[in-house]
Amino acid sequence: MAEAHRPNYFLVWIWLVFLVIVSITASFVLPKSAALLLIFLAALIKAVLVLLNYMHLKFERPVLYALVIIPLLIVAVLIFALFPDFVFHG
Amino acid sequence: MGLWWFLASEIPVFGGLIASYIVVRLGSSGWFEASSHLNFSLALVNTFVLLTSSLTMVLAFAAVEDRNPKRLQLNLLLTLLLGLTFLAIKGFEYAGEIAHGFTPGAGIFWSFYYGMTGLHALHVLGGIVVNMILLVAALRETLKPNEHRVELAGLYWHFVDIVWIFLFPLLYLT
Repeated sequence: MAEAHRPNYFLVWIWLVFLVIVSITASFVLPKSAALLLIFLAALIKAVLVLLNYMHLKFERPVLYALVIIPLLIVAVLIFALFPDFVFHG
Repeated sequence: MGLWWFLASEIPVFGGLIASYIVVRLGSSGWFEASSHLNFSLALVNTFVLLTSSLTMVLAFAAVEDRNPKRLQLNLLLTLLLGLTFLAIKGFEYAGEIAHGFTPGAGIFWSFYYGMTGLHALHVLGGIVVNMILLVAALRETLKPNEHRVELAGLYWHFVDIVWIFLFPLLYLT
């Protein structure tokens, strides 16, 4: 990767730290459901920032996106498959 | 590509644990009380430590690209020290919790807590060992033919960082 195309790693770090601060502030000042939404949205954004910029996924082939997304879908299916059993049947 | 396959296989490992944690927690009560005994301040410091270690790791990769061995050595050393700091803080946190009787057998929340953070800590330890090997090779100036390994070690290290990005709010902020 040429230096000209390199992400600004330090700026990404500042965003990551900022999002941690946002999450913590939300957990103290917002109602629980709104706080949870913001906290996990912030975590998702942080993960994507690391994936795209530090792991350079944005410079990689589309097949690598599939390698990341398919296992995540499997995990999502696991949650939705188990959810009714645990939550509604104790 | 091979390392991406490995990382893809790691997603269901941590994802399975996290999915089980979410589902069991939603179906139970009293978990908020249990999680309130965790040391939030130490976990927050550890979050900043691990995020910063990801920055130094990617700067080590950039140093390889720039053919700057001194900067490579410095950033590998910083990543190594930050990784050790993370484990030291985590160990201190565990010791405090165990001293208060919150062992892995103290309840289902604690079983999940030690299972998820313990597996994550083992992954951090694995990354530290790899980074140490790379640093020794860099200091001996024998890394040159295998410099791509810094990028591979970085991919693994950033994955471990992403896992913590989700573990921290799941355990300490909810």
